[in-house]
Amino acid sequence: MIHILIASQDKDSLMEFSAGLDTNDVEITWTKDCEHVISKIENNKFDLLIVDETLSDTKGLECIEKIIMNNPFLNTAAISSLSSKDFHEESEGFGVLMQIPVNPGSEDGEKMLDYLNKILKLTNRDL
Amino acid sequence: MKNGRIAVPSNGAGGIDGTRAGHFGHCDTFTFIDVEDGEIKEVTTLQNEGHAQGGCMVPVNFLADNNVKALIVGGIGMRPLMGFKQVGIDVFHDDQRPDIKPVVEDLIAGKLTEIQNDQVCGGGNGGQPNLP
Repeated sequence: MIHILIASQDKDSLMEFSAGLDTNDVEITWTKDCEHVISKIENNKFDLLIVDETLSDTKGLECIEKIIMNNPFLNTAAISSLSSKDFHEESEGFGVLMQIPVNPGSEDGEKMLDYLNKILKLTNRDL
Repeated sequence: MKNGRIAVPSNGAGGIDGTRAGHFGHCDTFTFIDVEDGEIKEVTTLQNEGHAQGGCMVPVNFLADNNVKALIVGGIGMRPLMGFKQVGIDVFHDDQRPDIKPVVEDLIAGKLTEIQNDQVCGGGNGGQPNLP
């Protein structure tokens, strides 16, 4: 079972995306802000954190920067409207798996899940 | 450093007389230097497993599995640095000298400093410490 945590203020805009992630082997948990992300990951094990571009208490990439300080083994992905070059610049060193476009579709979710599986296999995690 | 295994991200075949790779995750080879009582006892090399976007923890696990105690880098991102700290590997920094031997000798002699959080690559900070 793969456990994914998604942080967004606008869950409705990510319904198609999350449908692409949602298979029999995936459990999705939702939250709205970085503070709750921190409390969720303190008490549960997740394989992937996906953050929206802006959360109620901080920007998505700022949340990832905060999270990796104490949880470097947690994989992350971020929804972002930045150009690929700017996203790389802003997220360099954070080890973000993927930049997800704004208003992502189910195909983006499928792509995300495929890549997550590849990374989990590389890190020798039993699926 | 008196005892333990040092890892140096290396270009090509690596080895004590080889050159260092600028970013650990993308190196060709890791050179391992085993130190006993402050002396180099053995040098071995191991091919890197490769690097995928976001796969920063692959080399962290790889080096931990190979009993590495210290790593010398020219540049590293925040996530893998925190990963190395969690698995108990000390990360040292030298972004000036491309050759392996002098930085290893300095680490053994206690002349290299551990990398600080504000010396990591990127994150919108504008700086990317790396080898010349």
